[in-house]
Amino acid sequence: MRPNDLDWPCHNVVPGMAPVAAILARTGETVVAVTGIRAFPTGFGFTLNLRARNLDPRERREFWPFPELGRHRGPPWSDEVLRLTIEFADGRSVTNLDPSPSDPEVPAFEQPMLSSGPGTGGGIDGWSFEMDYRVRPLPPPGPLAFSCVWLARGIPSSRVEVDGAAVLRAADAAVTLWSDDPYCSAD
Amino acid sequence: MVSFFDRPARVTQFKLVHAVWRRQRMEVLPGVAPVALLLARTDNTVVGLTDVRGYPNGFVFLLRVRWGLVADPYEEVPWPFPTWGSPDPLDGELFPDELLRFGVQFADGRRVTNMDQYPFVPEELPPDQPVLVEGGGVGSEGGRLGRGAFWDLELAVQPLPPPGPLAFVCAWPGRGIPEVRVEIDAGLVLDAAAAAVPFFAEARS
Repeated sequence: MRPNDLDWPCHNVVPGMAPVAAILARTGETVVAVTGIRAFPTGFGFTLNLRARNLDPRERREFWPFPELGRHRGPPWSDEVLRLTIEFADGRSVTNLDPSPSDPEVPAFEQPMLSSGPGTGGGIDGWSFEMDYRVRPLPPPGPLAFSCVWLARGIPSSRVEVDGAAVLRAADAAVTLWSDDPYCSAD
Repeated sequence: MVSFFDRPARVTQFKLVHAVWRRQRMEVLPGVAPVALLLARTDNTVVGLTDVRGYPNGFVFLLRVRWGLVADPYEEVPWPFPTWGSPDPLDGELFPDELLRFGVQFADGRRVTNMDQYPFVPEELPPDQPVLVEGGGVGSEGGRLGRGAFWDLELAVQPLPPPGPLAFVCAWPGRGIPEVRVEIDAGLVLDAAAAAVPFFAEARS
């Protein structure tokens, strides 16, 4: 089995919860929010909540801001792309534009990795997305920052911080159900 | 001349309940409660509950159902949740052992389960009677290396519970799980609901 076939987070873990619900960016037409956080022994997951309204006719037909999936190609990335960055208290960071692994100088397991899905979305008068993301490894104690840039929606840069220690405490509360699942990596 | 379609449109309780939820989910950022539960656990089956989010008119959570490794990865997996067409009323047994029984009980005794008329909503629904609304889900019936099935099913309860113990109850005869009951402080859900905010300041909710 190749590493990419392994599940992460492993389905035989029930995560601990670090309750977070924060508006990351808001204009009169657009909201980006973060909810979760589901903490696992080796990383965490969160949901990116997007709302966009007052769309032009083209946006009503097609609206897809996620660079890691779908029609966008880069670099350079279109202004329509939502740029998302996760930054640990020790300065390590990862974005949804990074190829993986992002920094060849840092051992792969220590580099933050960001992956997306599953998610839901749709809309009539506006668009609504709930996209799940997963980050590993766990952050160190200290501020865990989520930031985004979404130029086409008038969001130059916006940032919100949560307590990395709370994520670690929640990870301690996660329960591994079966340790011998062949679909789950050992890390 | 009377048109074939002249009857007034009918607003059913089912439509109403789901419309409330759709609008709430679209317009409100929920608060999140620090809740992660193992409702039941055997050697090969787990029922967990996480991701409790509070809204002005109710709360949502994720039911995490997990099977352990299975001897035969190609064994047919019976669908464990009652749905629109399951169980089939013509098959005889209205609630077979393969179905996961699940319910929620408020501190004042009101309760809702996935038996009764679920996933439909009774037309004569008393105003304060809780209802269980099924959302989306992801899952798998297993894998070729023998991993058992798993499902993450989102469920919502409307309305919010009163203060006091909030109980989650499940039983799964087909998987060897007797009736189990896990209680949390409803205040966790109420605090999350109080923290919910509209995405846009002028949103309806």
